[in-house]
Amino acid sequence: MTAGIEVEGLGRTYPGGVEAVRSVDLSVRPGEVFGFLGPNGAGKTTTVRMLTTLLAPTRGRALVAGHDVARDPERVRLAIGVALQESDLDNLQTGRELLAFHARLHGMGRRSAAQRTDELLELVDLTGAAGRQVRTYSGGMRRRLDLAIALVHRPRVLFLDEPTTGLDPASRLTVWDEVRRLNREDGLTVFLTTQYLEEADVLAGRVAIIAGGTIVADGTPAGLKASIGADVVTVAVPAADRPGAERLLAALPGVQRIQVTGDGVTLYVPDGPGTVARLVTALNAAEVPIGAVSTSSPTLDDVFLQKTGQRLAAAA
Amino acid sequence: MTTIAAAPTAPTAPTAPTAPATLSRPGGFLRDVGLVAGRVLRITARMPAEVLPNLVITVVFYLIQIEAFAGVTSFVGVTDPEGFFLAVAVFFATAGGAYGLQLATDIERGYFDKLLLTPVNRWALLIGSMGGDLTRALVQVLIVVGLGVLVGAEFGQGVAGAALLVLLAMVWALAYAGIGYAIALRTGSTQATQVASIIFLPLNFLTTAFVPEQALSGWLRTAVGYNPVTYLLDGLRALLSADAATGTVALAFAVVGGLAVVTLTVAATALGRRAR
Repeated sequence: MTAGIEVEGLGRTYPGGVEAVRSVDLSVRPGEVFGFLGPNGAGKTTTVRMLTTLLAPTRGRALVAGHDVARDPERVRLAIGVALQESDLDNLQTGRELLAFHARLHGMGRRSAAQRTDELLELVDLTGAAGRQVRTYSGGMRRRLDLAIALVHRPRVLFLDEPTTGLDPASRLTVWDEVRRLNREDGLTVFLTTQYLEEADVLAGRVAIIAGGTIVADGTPAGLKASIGADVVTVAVPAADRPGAERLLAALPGVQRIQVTGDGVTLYVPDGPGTVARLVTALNAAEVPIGAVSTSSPTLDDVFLQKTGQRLAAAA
Repeated sequence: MTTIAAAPTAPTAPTAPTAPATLSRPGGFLRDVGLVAGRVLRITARMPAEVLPNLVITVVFYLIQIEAFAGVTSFVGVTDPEGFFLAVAVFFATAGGAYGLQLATDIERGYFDKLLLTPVNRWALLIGSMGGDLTRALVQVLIVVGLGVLVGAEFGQGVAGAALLVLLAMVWALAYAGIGYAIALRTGSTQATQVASIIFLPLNFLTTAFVPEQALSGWLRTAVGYNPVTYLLDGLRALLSADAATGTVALAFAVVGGLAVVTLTVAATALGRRAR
């Protein structure tokens, strides 16, 4: 049994004909942290629900930890741990009771369940709050308890759905450290869905971008950024002037690609700083009012923009 | 040419990344049922406001009925008002609570997905939850029956009759719970599941709960004849009276048991659709 994920042509059409996922192909190697990015409605959640056996695919094939999610969901469930953003916890049990309950549902005996519960409470720093009912927990504490539940049976593949959405920056760093440690020390394969590109950039060895129910890009964050092969120059322009600005700026020397965005125009050029002066001169000459001008190396957000035509922050 | 007699034994190096087994394994059906039922009972014990009102209403209503109707029941042929209304109290004790509400809450809040992600037996999720709810109903039935003993209900069939009465009440509770669970699993909505307890109203009033059948007339008498609760109440009363009406008791078990088969089948089908 390998702890990777192999997906070929996976799709889901709901009764009534709504095609939530058209066709997804991806491959996650054992021991890898894989970032899965996409705006809401792109098919991200549906894909994760299929890979975690909660939803039956209507076409294609997916192997998780070596087992077919459609034909052998029971074996898939033994191998995976899942922390889903939209699922709540059981509010009326204490943290310790809930964790031990899940350990027991995974077939552990009373004593080993209690022992594993103590280990995990320690790991996610909830030992002090273990005797309190979950309803008294803060958002960050719930997220940590959810992570502990996902890890209770020592899974080989961990699915983390938006693990830091709604967390304060300090809690976010704690979760990131924990994910890195699990991956490094236990060799855990991590399938991470996130709307934070920074999170994918920091944690994931490879990322895939889903849009319109299909994968539009995948590779290492560095490779994807390099694939843009240019500096990114962004200029803020009022909405009415954007089409005119786009025409003017497309004529500048060296422009490889130009895109109108929600707040102005974005250019991909070999020499960012050199382009800024020419851009300002051209727009001033045409009396186009301009706001902030910036130049930067490409980010995953630029990759996202190039592949999907929208920025993830605005799309999410 | 040299022949190497014995190759040194070296540990075989792993050639491909393999994942060691996890700690997870199926725990077995009965064990899963116990775990799920235990959780429902633990939660129920922490929500006394969900349980106590029904018990209090049942008890108070029983005591009031005995007092209020004591003077008139003899006109319609009731000689043992404590026993006559005990059947109604037992019915209240089983049908007053909302069945499947915890399951609907779990589905609504997404916690049910977390349960489905464990190797827990799918049927144990339904049967264990029902077990938790039915244990609560059983405790209420036993309290009400104990109260019947205290106020002097007849118990004409002795301990065996009382035991059969509790059994009949629990088969009815199972049938009634099936409705709540079917709705919870089909809709995943706590509101819809709570609405299921409104079914309790017509079931209750279109029966012989307050007067025996011979005292009813017209369309009410016809409606009462089609209401399974009528047969339940007749059976419960037969088990309390001195003259053993075996046919009435058997009919009650048949009607209530048949109803249970129907509602549980619907609930099981709904579970099959929701849980892979």
